[in-house]
Amino acid sequence: MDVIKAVQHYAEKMINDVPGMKALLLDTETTPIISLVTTQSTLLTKECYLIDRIDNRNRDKMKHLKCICFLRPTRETLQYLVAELREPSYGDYYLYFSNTIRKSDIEQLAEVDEHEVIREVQEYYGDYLAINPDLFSLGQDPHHYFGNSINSWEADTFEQSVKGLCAVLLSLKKKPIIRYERKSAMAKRLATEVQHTITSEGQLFDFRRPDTPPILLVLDRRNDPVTPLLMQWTYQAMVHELIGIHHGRVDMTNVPEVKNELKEIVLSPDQDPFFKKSMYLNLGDLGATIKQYVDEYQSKTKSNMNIESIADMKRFVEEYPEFRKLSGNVSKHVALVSELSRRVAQDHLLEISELEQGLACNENHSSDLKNIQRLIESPQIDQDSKVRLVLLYALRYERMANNSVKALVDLLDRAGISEKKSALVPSLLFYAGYQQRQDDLFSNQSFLSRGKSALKGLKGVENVYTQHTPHLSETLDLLIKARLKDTDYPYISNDNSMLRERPQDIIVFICGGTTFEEARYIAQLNATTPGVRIVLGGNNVHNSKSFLSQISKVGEDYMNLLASSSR
Amino acid sequence: MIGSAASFGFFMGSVVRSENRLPASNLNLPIIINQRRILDNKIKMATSFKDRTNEFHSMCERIHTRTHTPTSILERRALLSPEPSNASKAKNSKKAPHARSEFSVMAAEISRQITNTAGKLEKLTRLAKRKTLFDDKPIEISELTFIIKQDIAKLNKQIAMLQDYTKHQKQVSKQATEHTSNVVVALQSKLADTSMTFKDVLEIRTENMKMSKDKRDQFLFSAAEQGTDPALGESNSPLMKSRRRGLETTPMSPQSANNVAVLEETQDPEQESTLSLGIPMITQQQQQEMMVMEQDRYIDHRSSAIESIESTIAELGGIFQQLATMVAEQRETVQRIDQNTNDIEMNVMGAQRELLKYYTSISSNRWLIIKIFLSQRSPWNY
Repeated sequence: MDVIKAVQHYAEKMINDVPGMKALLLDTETTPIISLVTTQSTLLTKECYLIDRIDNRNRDKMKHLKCICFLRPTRETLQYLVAELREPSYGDYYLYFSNTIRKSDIEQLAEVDEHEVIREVQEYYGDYLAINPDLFSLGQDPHHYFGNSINSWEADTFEQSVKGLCAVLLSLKKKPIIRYERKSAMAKRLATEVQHTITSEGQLFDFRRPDTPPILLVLDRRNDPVTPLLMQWTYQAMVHELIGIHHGRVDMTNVPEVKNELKEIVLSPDQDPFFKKSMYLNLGDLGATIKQYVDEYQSKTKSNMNIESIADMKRFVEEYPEFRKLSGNVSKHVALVSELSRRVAQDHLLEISELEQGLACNENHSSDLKNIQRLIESPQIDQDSKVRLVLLYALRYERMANNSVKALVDLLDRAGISEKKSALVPSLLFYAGYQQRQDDLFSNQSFLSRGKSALKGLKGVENVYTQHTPHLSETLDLLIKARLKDTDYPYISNDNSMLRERPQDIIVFICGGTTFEEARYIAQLNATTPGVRIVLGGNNVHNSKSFLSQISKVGEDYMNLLASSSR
Repeated sequence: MIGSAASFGFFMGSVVRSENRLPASNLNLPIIINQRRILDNKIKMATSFKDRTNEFHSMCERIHTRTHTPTSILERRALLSPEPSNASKAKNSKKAPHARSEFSVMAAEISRQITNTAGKLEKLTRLAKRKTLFDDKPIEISELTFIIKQDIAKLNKQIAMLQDYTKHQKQVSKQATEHTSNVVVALQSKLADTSMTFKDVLEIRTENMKMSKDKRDQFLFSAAEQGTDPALGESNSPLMKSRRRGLETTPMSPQSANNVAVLEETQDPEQESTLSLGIPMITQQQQQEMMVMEQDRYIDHRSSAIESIESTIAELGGIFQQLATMVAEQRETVQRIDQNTNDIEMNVMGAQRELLKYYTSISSNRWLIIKIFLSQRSPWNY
């Protein structure tokens, strides 16, 4: 149950199976998949000297090289492949497809292979981005989720989601029982289609049956719109929130005073042990860890400084590459963390985050309203943050009779925030308002849950900035204790004979994207709960910016539709 | 791969072990098969990807055959009737350097078929070299043998046709004729090689069958010995031993398939007689009889297989003779070459002799010139 290992295994197998000098051809989709799990130097040590894209048509002819093609079998890629095979640039072709390929496509390839260069055709199910060992993403564009209505998929996205999810299941060798969120039509559609694929591809999914069957839980983002709106304080999530992580890379070009070699840095828990250790630490703990790291670096530097004997010199020469690596890593993380703390100070993020967390966790209408008004009027605060505060307010107090959402939107207008941004408030409520959500997100709908949340409030919180736990935690708690209600999260298949047991392997998929906060929660859960292994995935990994742009797209496309149809 | 090899070894081991106690071996067989299935499943589980190369290859082949059937019909027509248009076509193809001549297309077709046959032969070799006692596939082997036999015969015929075709066709240059005849000879030798290996494989097969038969006979006797009382067994043992020795020393040529059957038949009454010497256990006797019946069936099977092999070898012999005549034809030309070289040698010698003669005449003439010179000069002196 380690998605990075799974994809890595595929990549290694691909490279190792082909002897001799070789070139690696990728397409737009598989390039990030490969780049997330391996590095160019690893590929070079395996005699893979050339890495190129298949859509790059002016490649040199090198008949002495063997060519490994790792491609997602989309129509476009297949066209490129056909063109490539008509005039092969390399000696032999080993085709690895990242997903199931249709028979007709194989036939087409066979027809085109006049030079008889194809040696192998294989399906390696690495059709997803493995970000953390327990987090995967399908890397889809959040602007293209919805089809005709807000409750249906766009056809291409849907197809790719089904394929990606099946690839995850195949690469982890799981044949799960599927549960979905009752109220979400999208989750249901996805779950049904995945089940259909599993039954139709019977012999592919013919794995050894474990004692307790694994579970695939298909959830919908709209059940928890709060998590992607919050400011994050743990390392990985914070970097994604403030700067953005794309395919494991962080673009630092907009950061002031950054060295040239740090313009674009790689953050991968697989290749960077320090990052692996600290990715779930919050900013305060991170500071301490990075201090330790720098100290270690300093001591290394000192030991490198005093070269007095031949033995010292020998040791120095031997350790120097390692030392260089360490120094590069240290400067990378120091630059990143200094940027994070700069942004925190500049944007008054501590203050905002405190209020955000308060809105997300506790019910205290009058003081919340007062604080929001104060912050909206304050000129130092970023516009997006103001909008987010109003969005959180609207979500929490949506059902309160005398809420002042309208007044706050007016206040936003007065503070000079564009209409487009303030229109996010109705859009969000339309997308993920009370009507759309299934579960009691804020624990304020029944007397019992109110009591529970009050009790939680009495206990006090350790850290006011990270007191929010994603809604996913409650769902998973119930699931692990085998107490998740069948009525709320029904099974897709009918035989419920062996379902009363506690599940061991759980794969969670969130339609509409997941977040790093949830990923962190899953990682903690994996570490603390023995015997349970969870993998989280989503169509993409949201930060607040991408989530808001998705919402605004929803507003543009569907609110008008609604208005015109109601008219 | 290593895993599967190891598992195969494991099977071999279990088979050998079960040989030691034959009566139970028939019960063991399904268990072994089950184990193999389980292991196969395990191998499948270790990898979660799908290899579709075979699918691709079969697709390739299908497309290949689809595109090539019409041309092969054309070839056949060309083979059957060497029309004058063909010759003109050949000329045309000569003008266009890239178009392959019909002859070469045909030759390529034949060579491809030879390769195919070689592939089948390889499969047969694999089957024939297996030394399991239970799981050898006599039907498959005989089928394959039959197919290969037919293939070879057909190829032989085709090559002959090709030869005729080249003879009928008037070639433009001497080099072209030479080339075609060379190609034909090469094809023939290739076919000869193939049929040679085929013969080898069949020999291996007969060898294997003989060996397994020997083993089987051993078991039969040991089972009989176990069945009898120790005292009686001892009294019987010299007889048995002599019988066994006789069996072992009997040469088992492939032609003597009937011989083997006869041996088996003679052995059966013998067994009954040893049993009737006074064994009180009827149940055991019944068991023995059942076993013997089963053995008989198996032996019949085997003898028929051996017969088929024998006939195949005979047919192969015919093919070899044909090939031998071809080679003999070739010898004529080779001999002619030899003669020609002899002639050349003689001619060269003659030429040398003539040259020498000429040289001596010239050298004698030199003196004449001098004499003339002298004689011309003398009048002036006088």
